[in-house]
Amino acid sequence: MSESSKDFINSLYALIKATFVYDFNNDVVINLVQRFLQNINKFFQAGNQIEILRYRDYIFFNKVRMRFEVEGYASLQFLEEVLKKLWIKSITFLPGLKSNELLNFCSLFKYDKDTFIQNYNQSGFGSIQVEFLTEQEELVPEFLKDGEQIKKTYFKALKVTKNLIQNLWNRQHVDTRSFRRVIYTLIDSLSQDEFGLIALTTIKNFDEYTYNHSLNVGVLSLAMGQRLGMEKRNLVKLGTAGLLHDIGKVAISKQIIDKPGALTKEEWEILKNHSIYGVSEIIKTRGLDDISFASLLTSYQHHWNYNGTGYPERLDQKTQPTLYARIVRICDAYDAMTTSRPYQLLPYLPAVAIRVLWSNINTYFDALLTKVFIQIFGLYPVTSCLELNTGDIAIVLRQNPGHIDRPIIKIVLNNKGEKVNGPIIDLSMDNKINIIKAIYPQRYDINPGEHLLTQ
Amino acid sequence: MPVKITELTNDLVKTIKAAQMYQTTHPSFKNFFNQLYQDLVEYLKTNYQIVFQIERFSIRYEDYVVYEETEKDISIAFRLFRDGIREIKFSEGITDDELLIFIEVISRTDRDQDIALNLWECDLSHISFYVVEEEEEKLTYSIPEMPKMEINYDEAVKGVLSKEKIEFTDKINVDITPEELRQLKSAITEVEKQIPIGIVISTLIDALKKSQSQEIIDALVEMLELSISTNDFNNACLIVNQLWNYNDINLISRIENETLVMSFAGLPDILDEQSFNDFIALIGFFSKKSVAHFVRILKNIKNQQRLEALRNRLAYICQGDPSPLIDFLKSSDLQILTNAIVILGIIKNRSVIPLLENLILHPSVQVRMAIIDALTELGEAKMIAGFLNDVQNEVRIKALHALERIKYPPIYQRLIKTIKKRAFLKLNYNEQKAYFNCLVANRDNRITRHLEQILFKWAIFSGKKYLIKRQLAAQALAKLNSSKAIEILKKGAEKRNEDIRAICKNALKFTSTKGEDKNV
Repeated sequence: MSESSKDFINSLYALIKATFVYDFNNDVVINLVQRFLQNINKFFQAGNQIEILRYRDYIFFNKVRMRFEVEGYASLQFLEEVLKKLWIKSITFLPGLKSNELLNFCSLFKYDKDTFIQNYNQSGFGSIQVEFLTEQEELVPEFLKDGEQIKKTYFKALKVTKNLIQNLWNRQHVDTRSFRRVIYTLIDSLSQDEFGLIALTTIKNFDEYTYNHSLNVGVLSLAMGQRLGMEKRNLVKLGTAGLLHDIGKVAISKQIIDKPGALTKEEWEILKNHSIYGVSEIIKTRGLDDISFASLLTSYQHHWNYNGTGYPERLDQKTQPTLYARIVRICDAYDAMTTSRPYQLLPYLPAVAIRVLWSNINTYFDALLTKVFIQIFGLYPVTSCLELNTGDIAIVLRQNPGHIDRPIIKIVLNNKGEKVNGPIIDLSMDNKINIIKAIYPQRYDINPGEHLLTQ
Repeated sequence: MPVKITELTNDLVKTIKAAQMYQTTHPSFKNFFNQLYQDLVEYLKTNYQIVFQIERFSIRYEDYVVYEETEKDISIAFRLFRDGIREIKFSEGITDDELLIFIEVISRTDRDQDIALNLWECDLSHISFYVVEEEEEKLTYSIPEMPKMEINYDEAVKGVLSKEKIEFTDKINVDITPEELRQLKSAITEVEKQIPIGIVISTLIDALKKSQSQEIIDALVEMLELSISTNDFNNACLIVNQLWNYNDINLISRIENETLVMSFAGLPDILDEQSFNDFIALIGFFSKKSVAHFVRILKNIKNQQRLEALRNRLAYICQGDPSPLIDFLKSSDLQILTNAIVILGIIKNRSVIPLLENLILHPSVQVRMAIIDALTELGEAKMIAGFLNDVQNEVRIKALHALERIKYPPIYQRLIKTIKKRAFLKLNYNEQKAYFNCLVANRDNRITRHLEQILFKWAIFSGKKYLIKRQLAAQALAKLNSSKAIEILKKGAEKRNEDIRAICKNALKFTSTKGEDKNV
């Protein structure tokens, strides 16, 4: 997202908010109008008009999709929300815009949809054009509607990850070029549709935990890096570090890795060495460069807790893990908790895992990064199975920016206990439907993966 | 085909070829590049974007082939195609920097370059491309079964909540305050910088400490070489030092050779203070076999202090063994010979004394002075005293300084005899002063009397020259600072002779009032 478009959205947000509170002659409002007009005039002088378009929960600024990043999150989320509430498809600002026209327009945002439309039509805005949606928008998430490419990306990445780990395990040649390419395709896919790849990480294959887990931690870490506004070259480091965080396990006997049931104390001690072995494996796989450095530090530190505990033991407890390792620590714990493993056949519900993360902030996890994680994944992450106050059972299809507790859901079981291909509901727009609790989908023979892959 | 497209394609191909022949700063390249950029911007102003399709040996625009070259080694299309690039799109708003980066990337002809990856890494905003993966087979995926268990799922959830001590009703606020946002931004800015190599080194060594790994040792050797080649002696030292402490492994032994040592030539004069100190510390890990190479690079060092530091370091490496330097005593290169002599002295191995003795009459002043340095380190005062007869006053002065430093009381009688001679007045001031300092340093109980005699001596001839001698005698008394010496100076301060009075008054200023006896 360019700085000028960020500035524009921020100044529009501030102005709309100010018109809710102050009258038009207030100094705050006057200053904000000046700032906004200065911003917009830069675009007009360059011969451009400004179009803000909302499509499928994304905001496009002059056709470029704006990413939800921590910085500027509040303003973008506010704008997305009001446009959704008012059924606005797009707003176009044209040259000749005056302060009075702008103020009158901004003050309309406090109304409901019908009043907004009525006032907009009556006021006759010459330099602000609004296009409204004519029918309720499509709620099917992008990745479900047109998700072939994203699925291809994910499963290709899974295949490459599997090859890499297996080849390391068998001490065979490792194809690093494919691996590097996978990182880039994941980054590209995430920038096109953040939630598509995240949704695919919830399809867990019990038999292929190691590969699935490595890829998922890579994807989840990348989603966090993107939300944090990291540059592409740093996303490459983070994604690689996430994918390779457990690579040291290839140096541990498969009997221990795949052992059904609980590990003995001795076996557990051996397993803990994977963080250390990872350092050698990364050097072996990638050689020495900045990306390897980030990866080997992450491998070494990804079981370091925020409070100085964890393993391997650090010489100085005050030494904090790198940002990459702190991100991977959270993603690793979340994916591990929510995946069935030999010694944990019933995984934690995603909604429970989120709360476990939260209850361990500042002890195990970096509080601030955990907040960002929950902002992205919500309290009920994608594919969570929910019991609603209507008696229906639904699965979560995607998050609503700014509403961590009210995602977009799909009814899959009606209140009579019948499996249905039910409606998709945006809970942020429907206050009558409430979530009672998260449940295990197995209880109702529901497989959320079917709703992701078979659309 | 639109004329503009033909022109643009020609511009593009010419610019790529120019980039392969010239540096991007070369005027010829700049001409082609500027033309391309100008035409591209103009085209995009009205058409917003231009998309080229990449085929095996050709580039197409819509239905037109705009470039074709079937020879793989020079075909631009083939290089792009080989790396999976199937489409390149230029959009309005493209900057000259972006275009230059693009040209640089696609001009690289080395076979191991992955153009698609390189373009991805550049993250160009107005140049996008579509890449197909090498493997085009259909990927199959299936939905894994959800293993159903014969348990009460609701109870299972309750069990987990109780074990983790959490409730679904617990409030979770993930709003990020401005202060927290600042913290996050600063953390991100931090990782955007290069990862501090010191942290990587410490981690590698820590990992090695816990699990021996050839890969890590090799990596550390590689990082050591890299650090040394970039004059990053701090990290080089960190690697060598920590590894030495942890595992008794001396990585230097794996990279130590003549070429490496010779690459340090000139460095001691240009490194900053900290880097030089790190450099000196690093050298301490080299073995005796490198000493000979180091001696060769000492010859051009201009900074005397750093030269001495290096000589000391080389002596330390020798660990008392003079053998790496003995051959240099036959060198005709005066600087090499000088350095070898000085280092031999610092080593303090007395077996070299006969070898040094052979060089006492060496024609070079520099060499004779180096021998004095070496003999000083070895405490060989008697041999140093031999240099008081040297033809060069600077050699004699050095010998006096050496004797002053290492103390050789038997020399006293000889010194006072020389001082009392008329010829003494012909020596320059520095030598005269060195004599008096040496006398004080090697004094016996006659010194006060001797100095008093010199101070108050009735001098008819050479009065002016003798004045200096008086001054030096008075200063020597002040230096002694004994009660007797002060008494003499006080007596002098009362004399009728104006010169003596002034000299003594002045000297008294340098004595302490108590007149402490300094064991005289």
